[in-house]
Amino acid sequence: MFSIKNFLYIAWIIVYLMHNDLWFWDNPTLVLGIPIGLFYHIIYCFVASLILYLLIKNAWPKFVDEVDDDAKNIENKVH
Amino acid sequence: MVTTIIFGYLVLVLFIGVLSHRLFRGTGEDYFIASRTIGPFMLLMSLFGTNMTAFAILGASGEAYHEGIGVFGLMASASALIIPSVFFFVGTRAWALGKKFGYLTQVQYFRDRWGSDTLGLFLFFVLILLLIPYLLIGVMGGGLTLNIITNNEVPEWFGSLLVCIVIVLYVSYGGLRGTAWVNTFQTVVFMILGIVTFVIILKNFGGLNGAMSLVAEKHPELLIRGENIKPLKLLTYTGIPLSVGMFPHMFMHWLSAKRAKTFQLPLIFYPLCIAAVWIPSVLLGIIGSIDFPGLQGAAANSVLVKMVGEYAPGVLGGFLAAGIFAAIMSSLDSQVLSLGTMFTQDIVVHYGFHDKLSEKKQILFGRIFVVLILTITFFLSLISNKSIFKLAVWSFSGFASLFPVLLAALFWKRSTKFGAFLSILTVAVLWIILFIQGWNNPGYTIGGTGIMPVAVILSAGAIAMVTGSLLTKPPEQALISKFFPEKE
Repeated sequence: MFSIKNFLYIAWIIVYLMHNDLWFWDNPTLVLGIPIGLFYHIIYCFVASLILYLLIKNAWPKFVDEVDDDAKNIENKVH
Repeated sequence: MVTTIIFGYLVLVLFIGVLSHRLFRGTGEDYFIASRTIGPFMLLMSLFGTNMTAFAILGASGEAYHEGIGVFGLMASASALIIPSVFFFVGTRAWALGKKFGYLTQVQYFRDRWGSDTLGLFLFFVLILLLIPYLLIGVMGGGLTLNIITNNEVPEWFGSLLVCIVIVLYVSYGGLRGTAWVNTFQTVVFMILGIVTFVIILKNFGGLNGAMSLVAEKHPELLIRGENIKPLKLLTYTGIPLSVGMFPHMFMHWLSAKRAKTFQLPLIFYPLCIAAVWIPSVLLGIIGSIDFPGLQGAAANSVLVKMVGEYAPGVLGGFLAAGIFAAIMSSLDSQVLSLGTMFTQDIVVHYGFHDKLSEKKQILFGRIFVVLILTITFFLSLISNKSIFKLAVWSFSGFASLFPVLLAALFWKRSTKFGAFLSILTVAVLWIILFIQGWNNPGYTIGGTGIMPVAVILSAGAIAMVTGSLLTKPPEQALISKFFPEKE
């Protein structure tokens, strides 16, 4: 079954490819006073933040949490 | 007045670094990685502040002065996606391995991963070689800032020397905890002051619309990519942020995280922090072309400081210059500390004294090495006149090209020490060759195609990793089981 994790990995690749915005290359239009070629990349930063949030919620590495839990258990025993 | 404010700021920074010493536990682990106790907000500020250097403030505005808005896409937005992604896929795993096996440096991990002392030693020297240009941009940036903001009253060499001395003092005294505290303070300072600078300067141009209209009249080519940047260059530039995976100072900050979940806040907010710093830098660099035309080459590094001097003189100018200083020092301190840590752990303790060296002596060796490297870097800054942006890109390209070695270590069981060795050697040789070819050639790309050297060096490094591994016998099962336990 196609998992949400795989979907997010594909979404990441698409977002990466969309970094090369050939469609705004020579466009001098201003959006909110900012050249559209720059405005696009500012929005891109917000999209990057969103995709990281989704990866954290749906694809957090299990191995890392296991080490974390082991370490917490040892700390609790010590205290 | 401006000089007084900057000196006052440096004293404050020193005070914070020294204050952190009150929490010092007296152990090497505490000095070198704050006993792995750094929480989410401080980790975000440390990771972001460490990465935002003279490059992001002075270099970005200087490059935007020449090439326009495309500079944001080249480094900022690419970094906004790739850097936190590297933290997610790689940083968390590096943290977990550091926690599990007690690593304090990258070299300890790589040495252990492939069971090779020689590999560890070779990697140590390559990392130091690549770190020196990175240190250089911070030292140069400090000197340049102080010189311009004081209208040439303070010579560049003095500013550079001052930055070196302040950093040596609080890094030596506070270790990574001191560095993290100071980074947090400095990152908040330069982010807030950066936005304040931007708003104040824009007001003089009638706001953003007014400023862009003026630029459209005089330098319309700066408002588009056009011929300034080729599409292939934009694509291949995305390899450069991979460098964060192999920066010794970033690795050190990863190891300092309290828990795995400590990474989550930094991952989400890192792209937004990048936008907050790079937008003003790039736009002010472009707007600077109106008031300060004709700045050639590396002279454009000074455009942001000139703008501050022109539109925010006096007390405010002093504070804004302090903000620039904050950005510069927040990287330099982590880099410097990582050098000290690497030398102490990877050379002195490992080869000289094994477990016989006391914690106190380990810390002393770290301090001595820090002073030595900064002294060399200071003298190099006196003779170097290259663009901060270009120096940084070369340094980042080298580190980025070592990324396949890190990926193979973390994810590929079949990788061998020979593959790693061949990859590092390939990267080192190719980097030197292309660096010599490209150094005096502004805007250098491979054969003028727009392809950045990083794309070639990284690809060659990856091929060498795979080829070298497959042509040699697989690693021992015990080594594989240690790093890839069966339950995974």
